[in-house]
Parts: sequence; C-alpha cells; structure tokens
Amino acid sequence: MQSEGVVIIRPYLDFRQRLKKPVIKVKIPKEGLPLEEVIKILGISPQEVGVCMRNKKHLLLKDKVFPQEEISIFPIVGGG
Amino acid sequence: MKEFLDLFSDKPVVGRALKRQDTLLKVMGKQKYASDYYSDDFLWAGVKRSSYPHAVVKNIDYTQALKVAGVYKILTHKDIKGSNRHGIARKDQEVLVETKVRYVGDPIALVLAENKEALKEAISLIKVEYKPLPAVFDVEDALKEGAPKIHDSGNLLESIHITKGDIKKGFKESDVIVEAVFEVPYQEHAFLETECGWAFLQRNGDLVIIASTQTPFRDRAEVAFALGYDEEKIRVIAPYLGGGFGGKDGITVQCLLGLAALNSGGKPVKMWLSREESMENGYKRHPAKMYYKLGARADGTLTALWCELYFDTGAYASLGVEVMCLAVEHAGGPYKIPNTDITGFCVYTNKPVSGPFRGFGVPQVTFAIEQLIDEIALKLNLDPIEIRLKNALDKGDKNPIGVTMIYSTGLKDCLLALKNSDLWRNKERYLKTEDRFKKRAIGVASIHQGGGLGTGIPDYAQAKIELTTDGKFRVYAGISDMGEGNAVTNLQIAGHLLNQKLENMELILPDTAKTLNSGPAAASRSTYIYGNALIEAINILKSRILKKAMELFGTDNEKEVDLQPGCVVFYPDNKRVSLSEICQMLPYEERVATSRFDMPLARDGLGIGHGLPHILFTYGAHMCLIEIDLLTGKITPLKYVAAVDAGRVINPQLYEQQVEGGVAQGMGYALMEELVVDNKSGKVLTNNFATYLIPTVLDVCEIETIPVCTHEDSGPFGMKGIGEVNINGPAPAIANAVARAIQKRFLRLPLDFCL
Repeated sequence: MQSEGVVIIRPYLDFRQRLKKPVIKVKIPKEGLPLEEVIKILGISPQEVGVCMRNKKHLLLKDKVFPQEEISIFPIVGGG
Repeated sequence: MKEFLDLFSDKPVVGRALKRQDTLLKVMGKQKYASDYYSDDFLWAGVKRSSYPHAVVKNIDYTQALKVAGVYKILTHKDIKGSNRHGIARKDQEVLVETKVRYVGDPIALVLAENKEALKEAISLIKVEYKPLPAVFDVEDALKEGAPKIHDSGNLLESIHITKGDIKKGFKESDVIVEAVFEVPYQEHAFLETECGWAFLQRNGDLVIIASTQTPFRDRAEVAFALGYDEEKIRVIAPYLGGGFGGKDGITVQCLLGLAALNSGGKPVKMWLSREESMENGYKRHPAKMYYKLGARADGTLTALWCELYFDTGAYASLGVEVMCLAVEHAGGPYKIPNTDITGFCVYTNKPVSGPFRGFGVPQVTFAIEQLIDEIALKLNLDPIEIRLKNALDKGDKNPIGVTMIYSTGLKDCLLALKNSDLWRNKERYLKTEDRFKKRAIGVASIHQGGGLGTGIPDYAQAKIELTTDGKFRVYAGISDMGEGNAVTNLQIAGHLLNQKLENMELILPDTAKTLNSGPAAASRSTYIYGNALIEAINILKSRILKKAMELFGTDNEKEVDLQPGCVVFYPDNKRVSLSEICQMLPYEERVATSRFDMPLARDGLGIGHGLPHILFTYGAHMCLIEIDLLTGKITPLKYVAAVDAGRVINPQLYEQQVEGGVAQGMGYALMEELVVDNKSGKVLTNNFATYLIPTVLDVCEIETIPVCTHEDSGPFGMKGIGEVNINGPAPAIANAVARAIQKRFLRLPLDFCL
C-alpha cells in the first residue's frame, strides 16, 4: 500500500512565471499536508500567497490538502 | 486644430507639453478602441441577468430562446470547464451563476447571436425559475444577527482596526470635540466607452481577447482560472481605453467573452454593454456610512480621532477590502493626529458590486474629516487655512496610522499656494453679491492620496525598449492608457533621454504577447512606476548604442559620441552613423533592453496587509467659491483653485488635464451624482444619464491649477502620481463652503439633494 500520493498545484500569474509550468505535481503523504508546507516545497513563501482555491472553494494555508486534489494558487494582487 | 496643436512642442522634452501621438487619430475617429472591432462574420454575446436581488436559481429554460432566428448558442455554468470563479483578491464571483443570485443583474446565461435584435429577443425568452430569498440592502442591517446570509462566510467580508497613541487621553486633552455621521452614495464611473471587447479563437487554439481593460495581465490569469483554459494560450490586448477611472480594474466582460469565443465555432465574438447594463452591473464607488469624532485643543491642534467606517461592497468583494483599507489609512487626512482609533468594515449586501474608482476609498473619508476640521475651525474662530497649516504633515512626521513620512510631503506648500491665490487674497470682492436671495462662501479642503498598491502587494513595472531595424525606438508599454496620456508620457521620457523626435519612436500598447507585466493602470502609479523602469531600460540601451558607435569611430572617449535624432554623432569630425546601421551591428538581445522597478514600501513595521500602509503620497489643497440660492437651494461653484504637489511636472498639459478632470468628477460627486438602488426590489433606479446626472461644461466652473513643484527624489524626473488625488477635494471644499454660507452642515452626498 502506497504511503504517499500526488497533489496537483496550478500556479497563476507571477507564480507561474517563476515556476515555469502550468501544472506541478507534488508528492505528499496520503494523510495529507497543510497547503503551507506544499507551497514551501515549491519555493513559494506563504506571505506571497493571495488566494488558494480547491474545487471552487477558498482554502486557507493551514488547511490540509490530499493526494489527487487540484489546488490553484494566486499571488497577492491589488489594484487602486 | 492645427493652430491649437502648434502651441505644443513636437520635440519630446520633459517639462513641456507635447503633441499627443494619439490626439488626431482619436478626434478623427481613427484610433481603434476595443469597442471598434467588427468583421464580416461575427457573433454578438449578451447576458441573461437575474431579476432578483437574492434567490436560489431552480431552473433555467432556454428552449424558446434557442428557436429565435439568428441565435447561435446559449451557455450556462454547465458549459464552463474551469472553476467558474473570478475576483481579484477573493474569487467569490461566478462567471455564470450556478445556484444563487446575489444582486439584480447577476449573470445567469450567455447568449450568442448573429445580430443584436436576435440577442435581445433570446435573452427576453430565457425563463429562470427562482426561489426568492430575503435580501439585505443596508450595511448595518447586513451585520445584524439573523440577517440574510449572502455568502457562506457571512456578510462581513473584512474588518480592520488601527490605533495609535491613547485615544481616551487624546479626547480628555481636547478643548473642543466634534462628532458627526456622514453618508455617501454609489458613484458611477460614467466612462464614455462602456465595458466591451472582442474575442476569437485562433487555429492553434490561442484565445485572443481584446478588451477595454486596465489590467490585461491579471485578466489573463482570471480568464484561465475561470474557464479552465491554459494561461499560456490566452492573449489579452488592451488598446486605448475610452475611460476607465477604476471601473475596468478587474473582470468586466473578459471571462464571458472568452467563454463565448470558445463556443462560437471559430467566429469572432463581440460584447459591448449598453449604458443601462453598464450602470446596473458595472463596478461603482463604495457607498459608505462613517461615524466620526474629532478633538482639538483651543489653539486648533488636533488631539484625537475616532471613527468607524462601514463600506458597502455589494454582492461581491472585487477590491472592496483594499478600498476600505485605503479609507482607513486616509481617514485622518494628511494631518498630525497623535491619538487615533480607526475601524473599517467591508460588508456584503444584495446590491451591485462596488469596486475600484479613482480615489479608491479616499473621497469618502476626505468628505468626512475635512468637514470636521472646518467645524473645529468655526468653533474656535480659526482661519480654515491656518488650522490646516498648523496640523499639516511634514516630512518626518507620523501620519494618523503611525507611518513616518519619508518622501516629499508638500501639503504646507499647497496650503500656502492657496493662501497666496487671487481668490483668497481678494475674497471680500469675490464674496460680494447683489442678490439678497443668494449667498457666497469659500470652502477649503486638504487632500492626499497614497501612490501604488501598498505594502504586501507585489508592485512592480517591467519596461522594454527596442531599437528597430529602421532605426526607431519602440517602447513596449506594459500599463494601459485609460485616456490620461501615460502612453505618450512614455514616449516623452524616451524622446527626452534619447534625444529623439516623436517620429523616431513607436509605441506598443499593452499586449500579454508582446509587452511585459507591469501591473494595473491604477493607484496613481502608472507614470511613476513604469517611468522609473523605462528610464533604466533606456539607459541600458543607450549605453549599448553609444558603445557600438565608439567602436565604429575608434574612440574610447564616451564624451566624443552622442545620440542625435536618427543617428549617433562623432563630435571630433562631425561624422554620423544612422541608428539603423547601428541596429544592424547589434545582435537582437542587445538592441532590446528591459528593466524592472519596484514600488518603495513603508518601513515602519506596520505591514497591516491588504495594501496597507503606503509610503509615497501626493498632496493638495483645494478651495472653492460657491453661490447658494436661498430660495431653491441650488449650489453653483463659481471658481475653483487646486494647488497640488505631484512632484515635478513632466507634461504641463497632461498635469492640468488630470487636475481639471479630477475636480470635475469630484464636483459631480459633490453636487449631483447618486446611483439609487431601490431598497425593496434591489433594482438600480438611475440607469441612464437622464436619471443619473453628471456634470457638463455648464456645471463646472473655472478651475485654476497651481502646480506645487516639490521634487520627489524617487520619481522619474522627480514626479509623483496625480491621477486620483484631485477627486478627493471638491466634495469637502464645496460642503465647507455651503456650511459657511448658510451655517448649516450637510453630512450626506450629493449636496444638492440634501436641501
């Protein structure tokens, strides 16, 4: 029985430019991992993250993500 | 026309007016806007919108609509492969509603048709079955226990509380305390060109969207996420805008257009909101209710400020939290107030969406704080300019939220300029009137506006300039031009530094496939941030060109070569080499230069979030002479003076245009503009220019502009942004004049409707 799986991360805007890929697969334990830890693996600081979405719903950095899930991450953006 | 244009220089020199490259094309109707795209065979896209402010959508039946001749397709949320969500800082808005509508106008179905008549008929034939829910239209009602819940997360989108010093001590030390509750309404952007765009799918699968937008790069990501389409395969092009003012800072038609183009069978698709649809569904300035209490010593020194600000963001967040935060930051005005306690609430209601609008939360609070300052002056019998001078922020002072002003801070200079103006010096003459049923008075207001997106938000511009094979300089502008002229300013900067004439330069407008991401055309940042990046890129390219010329002329002395229009000159024997020849000798990567500039940030350790705080501010002092008709209540502005510190002026014509435009729009906010939403049906009752009044040339008086030219060391050529600040002045200046004229203070906008 496998002890880990893959969570799919879709980075947008600056994150995408930096990571140079539209989709990134990250291996995580099957019992899940806080999103904050996953994005650190990608070299993204939690302070840079503006919006995270899972299945059309907002997600907090402390929330756990699980193998097979698809998570979209956006940097903080603003206007004026 | 020719005579008029001849008044301006055709040589791009910083500090002088310049013929705008776009002017003639625009006045002749030849400049192509996003609304100007047509082809022989295209489809119109239009939206079936909610007729309820809050309801569950039980069923959508479009069988009859599909039978209308000319209707190509009807799409619902089921046709969207992506998240169906958009939103700048919170993705709480659906491209097409799935289960619940939250305001009258929420988009439910997208219709594609061969002509507008078929489109209109089909939209009217779509039957939506609703289960109505209780709705809430007032911010304070929305926060009450048991209020209808608009979003699962609740109706309070965000609140923020900032304190400085000891508020109790501050009020205890006050000799005079004034309190009031202010209310301001929705304001409509009323741009000439309503929300629009043109989209098509290329054979290679690239989705091209040409939209009237202030944010092409952000739009691309939003469309990709909402529609589930590869961001790399989406191209967003932003031609000149027919006005924006913040109303195109975010998704308007882009997602719907993208969806339409993906389902149009290869035909281009056009979407262009009617004026009514735009006014009912476009973003608006946040209505707000503001509770204020301000204390001062007997000599007019401000001691304490307490306020609670309730901002109504409507059905969706847009940039509501950020707007509210900017209001909190500016709530105490540009003054030294040692003790402050400021709270802001951003609240959902079942009304149209509030969003970015020139001033971004600051006009609301300036209307409040400047009236209380004036009220204190009246109570203490102090001169309205002197009380402001006494409390004005200076470089090195801490502002009301505790940030130390370390950049140019020219408020005092602006106030002194007002004091020295003809209107103030000769006020007795101006205040005289022969009509016993009319009274005149002068009102004053200080203004300020933070520049840039603020701390915690990546805020940078990336400039690109190319030496072309025909010896021209091509500037790739990454920031949209809403009509304010920042695009031509880029050419002016380039022409000045490269010593080139306008005809030797080309401009590429924002295009995600060609230009570099430089963030939104917003926050008084465009020329400041892009200009700084561009100067660096120009210097890099110039250095490469001159180095190559030095090789050609066989000299090591860089003073012997210089750029001249179209060539490089070698001074010792006056030899010249054309720029096209230089270009042929440079590899591509050397004839293109790029540079990035990051906005300066506050370093007080007050990283509050949502763009707070700012560190760079533009300042101003405004004064208005009004006449009020005691029989009808009509308020007529007679003369307006605007002294503004926006650093060094790069182009006097554009500077004056920004001041006058801001003041005119501010006069509308002060005197006549109010988008009314029926608090039973949730419908917009003022959805055209017959019912929503904006100022015409007959309503705006003479505006005298006084540039107070401080030098902002961090700005390109010493400038600061001037796009927003001037809209903050008219409402409080006119309200203060009214209060002085009739000894009655009005706490609600628009003032004309208060009487």
